[in-house]
Amino acid sequence: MEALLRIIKKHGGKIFFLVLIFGGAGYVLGKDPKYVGYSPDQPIPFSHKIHAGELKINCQYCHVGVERSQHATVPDTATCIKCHEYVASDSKDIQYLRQSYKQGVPIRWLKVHDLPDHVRFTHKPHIAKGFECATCHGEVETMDKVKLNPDFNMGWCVNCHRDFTEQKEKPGNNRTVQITECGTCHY
Amino acid sequence: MKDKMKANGNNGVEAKRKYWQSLEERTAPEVASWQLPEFPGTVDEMKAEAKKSGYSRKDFLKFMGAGAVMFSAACRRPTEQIVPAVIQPPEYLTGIPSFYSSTAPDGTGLIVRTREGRPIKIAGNPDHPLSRGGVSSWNVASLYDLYDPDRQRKPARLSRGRKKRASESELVDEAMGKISEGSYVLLTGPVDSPSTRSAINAFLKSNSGGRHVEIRQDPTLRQIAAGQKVCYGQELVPHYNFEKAKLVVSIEGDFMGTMPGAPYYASSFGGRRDLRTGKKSMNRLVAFESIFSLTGSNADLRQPIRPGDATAIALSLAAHIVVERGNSKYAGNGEVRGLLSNYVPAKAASKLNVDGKMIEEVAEELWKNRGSSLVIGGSPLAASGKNESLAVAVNLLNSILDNDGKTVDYKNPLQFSAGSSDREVAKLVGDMKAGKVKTLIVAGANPVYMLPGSLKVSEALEKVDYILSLNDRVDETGALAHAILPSSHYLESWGDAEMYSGVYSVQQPVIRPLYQTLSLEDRLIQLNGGSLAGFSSFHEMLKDRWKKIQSSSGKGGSFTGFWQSALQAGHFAPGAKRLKETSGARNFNTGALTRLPRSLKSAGTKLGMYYNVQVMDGTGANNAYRQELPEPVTKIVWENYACMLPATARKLNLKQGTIVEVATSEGSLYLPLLLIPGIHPDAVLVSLGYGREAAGRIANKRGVNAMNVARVSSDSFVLSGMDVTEIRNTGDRHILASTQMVYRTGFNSENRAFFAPGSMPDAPYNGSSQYDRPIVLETTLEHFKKDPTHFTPEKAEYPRNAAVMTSWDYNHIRWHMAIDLTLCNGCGACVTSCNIENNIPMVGPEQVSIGREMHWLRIDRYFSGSEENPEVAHQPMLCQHCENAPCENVCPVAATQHNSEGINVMAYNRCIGTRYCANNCPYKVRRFNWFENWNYMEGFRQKLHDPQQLGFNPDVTVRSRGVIEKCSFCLHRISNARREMRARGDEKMMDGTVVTACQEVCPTKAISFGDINDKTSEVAKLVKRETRGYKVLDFLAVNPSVTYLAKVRNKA
Repeated sequence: MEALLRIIKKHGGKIFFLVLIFGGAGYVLGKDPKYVGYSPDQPIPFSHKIHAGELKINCQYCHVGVERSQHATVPDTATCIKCHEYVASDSKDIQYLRQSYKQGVPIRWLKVHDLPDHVRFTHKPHIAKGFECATCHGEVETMDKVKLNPDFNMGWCVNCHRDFTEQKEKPGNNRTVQITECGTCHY
Repeated sequence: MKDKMKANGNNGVEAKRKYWQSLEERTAPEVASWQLPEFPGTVDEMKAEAKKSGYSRKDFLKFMGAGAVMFSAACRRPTEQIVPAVIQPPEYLTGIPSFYSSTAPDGTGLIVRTREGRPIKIAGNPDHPLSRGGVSSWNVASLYDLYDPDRQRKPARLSRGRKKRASESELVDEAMGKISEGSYVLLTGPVDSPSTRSAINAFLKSNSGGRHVEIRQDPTLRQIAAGQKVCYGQELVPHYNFEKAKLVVSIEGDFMGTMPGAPYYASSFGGRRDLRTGKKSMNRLVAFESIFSLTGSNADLRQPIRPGDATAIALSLAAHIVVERGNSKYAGNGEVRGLLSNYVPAKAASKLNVDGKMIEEVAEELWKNRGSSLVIGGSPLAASGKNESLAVAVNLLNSILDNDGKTVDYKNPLQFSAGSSDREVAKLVGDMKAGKVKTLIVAGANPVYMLPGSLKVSEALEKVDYILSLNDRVDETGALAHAILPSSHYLESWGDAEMYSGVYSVQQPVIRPLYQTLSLEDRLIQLNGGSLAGFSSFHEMLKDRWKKIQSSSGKGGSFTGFWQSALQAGHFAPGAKRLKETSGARNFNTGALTRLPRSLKSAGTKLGMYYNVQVMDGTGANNAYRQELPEPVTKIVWENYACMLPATARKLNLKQGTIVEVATSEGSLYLPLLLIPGIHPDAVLVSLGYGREAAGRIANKRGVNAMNVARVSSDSFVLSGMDVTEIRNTGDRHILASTQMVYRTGFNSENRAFFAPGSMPDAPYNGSSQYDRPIVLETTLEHFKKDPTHFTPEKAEYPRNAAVMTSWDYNHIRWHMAIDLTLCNGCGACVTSCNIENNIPMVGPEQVSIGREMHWLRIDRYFSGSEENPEVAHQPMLCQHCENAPCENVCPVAATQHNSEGINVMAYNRCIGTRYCANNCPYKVRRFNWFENWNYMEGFRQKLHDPQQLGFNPDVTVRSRGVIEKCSFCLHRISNARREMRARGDEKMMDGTVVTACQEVCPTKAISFGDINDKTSEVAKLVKRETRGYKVLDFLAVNPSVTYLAKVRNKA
């Protein structure tokens, strides 16, 4: 016992650090990938289930940039106020929203579908090709709180890109060549 | 090979043109050991390097351990926020750039690209009638003046440069009180815009007791205007019509680089050099100059002269025509003959130590081209005594040659302000010293820095009761001011320009002021109590002027429509047609000749001051994109130096980099010596614009302010031709950071040339860095007309490499670039444009001096010929996007790959930094991030400063440490164009859809870019048609995607 105490006295710091490092590494590696299932609390608990699911509001009513821009864009406060001027105006969160509008202070949403900075993704061509939003974002209309559904990593992107490159042999589809090259997303 | 040389000689082609990039290559012992190695060699060196960066190996382990602990303890994914607008303006959408036309303060038409409301790139406006899409590197870099972290952000009270909190209204009230007391002076920078001038005049009218003084440090326009006044009775700066000039003779006139109006001159000069149209004729440029300027480096014939001898050279040219040949109507004029007979070339040659024969030849040529030649002159280097003397001599020449009214268009003068005369400025300083000035408002001027040291401006300013600074920062003058009301950047404010009468350009703001600032005009309105001449904002005042422009031009329709179309186009130019007209010659008043010295002056070493294209007069020096742009000829960055001819240095026993004391009657300058070829043996040249004391973290303490030794004569400030009393070796040495010698880390000897190709391992140095490989090819116009397929140096027969991999079929698009070396003048606008477009970090002088600058596009400058008077070839060098790229084969992680459109792409996140690719690149265009460069921007140990991050291009990844990067052919622009094309459902990319960043600013349009597989594209036609096309180092069988068009010099 004394020997053990002596060792701890002498090497305690080092042991402590080693335990922390290995324990930490084990903890990190043992966990599910952080990216799947990521679902942060938003400043306003906006429910896609109510808006997109029950009320069947079209995605593009709010995400106006999706056809034209690289970003789908999150709506400005004014878009929310269009309805919430009248709807549910006594709720605490809507009061918060109206305050944002009145005071001109933007709402800071947390990004759920976040790609690393070295990846360039553009919504426009994907929408132009006719992809459904749900193909990548999952069944958002069933989610109360938006959750990152698919893996959202490079393998997941490339799998789909590969499928569409194969079609290049088919007549009339030669516009999809080149989409598995590095330079398609990384520049 | 020897037989070939002979054969060349028989062809009439120059037997052998030997190129050298630096003096080291010429085995000049006095310049040895300049370049430090890029890679740390030994373990000790690496340790030292690591220590410099603040981390040792132990530290690293400590931090890594601690990092792992913290990582596991705080296991949270980095969150990013989305912050939408409260009310989104309908015309703007996140992720889509908006383009605005605007105008730079120097009249250049601009297209500013903004993203999410932030300007991120300045390009040329191709429809602008004057600049035609060309922009100077200075203007391209002005974007980062907007994001300059050292700008003053809000009004403040100042005392001895220290800032104290004060509200804007309080300071405005105080200033208004002081102004109402009278005897105030409004001291501004050059007021080039007529609307600004009318605002200033209205302010002076409404606040009596004041006067307006303008400081333009550059004396060029004053020289020209004064010369015009005494010769023709009209005080104006004529419009130089380069389009009508077959022969241009520049006498100390750097019209491509630093002269006011340079972008316009460069583009119209370049218009007559374009051989791509199939024409076999071009204009000819002769330069007499003391510094190796941008213009001189493009001259077909160049003569170095001593600073201050410009007038004598001009008179000597005239003397040959009038006195020796007896030509022109002035031959019978006794007054003219009497003066000129003292200046005949033979006399000039012996006194001025120049080539008299060359002067005679140029004079003959001028006479032959009379009516279609142009003599142009004026620069700080001509400010050697009387303000107007060079201009008088130049006017005499133009009158003798019948150019007046033809190439010298006096009907459409340049509307820029020449600035108050030096005498007036000196008088103001005298008045301040005498206490006659109670209040001084400084706006866009910096008298403490810009005026000669002997005027003792700071002492004078201390006698002024109240100094209000309207500058954008607390600068050298601000340190003595009592309050600062900071002014906005030009991208934040309204304005206009009228470079020539009837050619109007609008300057519209592209962003709301970042800070609590106002433009100068709005500030004047504020200081006038909120209203000036009936207008409450300068925007209203500007629109009122444009209403008048509309009615005077006879253009109908509503004003709103007119104004909006002007804003959209950026210009309204009913007067542009007039610029092509000619008129009759004016009568030259020979009485003006009495203002010239009667005889040639004595010899001796002379000091001259000049502007370089990087920082010009130093107003925008606090900008790393300017500081790190290599000087076009010397390729030095970040500071100034004393230029000297190697032969002179050898005589004085001085070496490259020695810090010398250059002593003049007005004091001494301590500067490192730079040996450059092609200047006069009696010349010492120092660039202005450096040595700022309070410009900000980037510019402070870089170099020396040469203005400190400028002399104040009774007539003007003397910046050139001053006697150097002594050049003393201080014994210290300083390494100047240069981008040109970085590719050479060995030394030539007679036995071994370190750059000889691998196929000839022990080749002796043959005097040429090209070693007969096709790098720069050139020919003369004479020879080109006879035989448009052969160029010098004749290629040596190197064994053709076998390609490692050749399986690309490129059945879709293949991108290709063509660069015309005849048109490229080496100005560096493309370099700055590329830097800003691609988020390329600037690394600071210490890193540049060990070859770690990050430029993706560089301009290689090759000297050829003698050290005394070499010729220069500029060659833009960028990733050549080889078909069989040597870099691709050696990457162990396949981070650099070829794509199906012929582009060599980099996946930064895959790169592990082995640098094998950089080693294997024959063009040395790959760049390695040695540090987290953006955090260490400008080489300082500090984080990226707010708000520089706003200038980033969001379409390009910001690279981190340990990653190789290089030119991508603007892949983000290509991708965007491709996406647009696919979204539209088009099958084919239209030619001209993709414009690269370097291409969009080039003043001479030397760069073409497009799909070479599309037979109708410009670049495909060019490559097919042009006999001048060649690929650099093509024997390597790498098959580059860049075609260079050989340089043609207009000479016999």
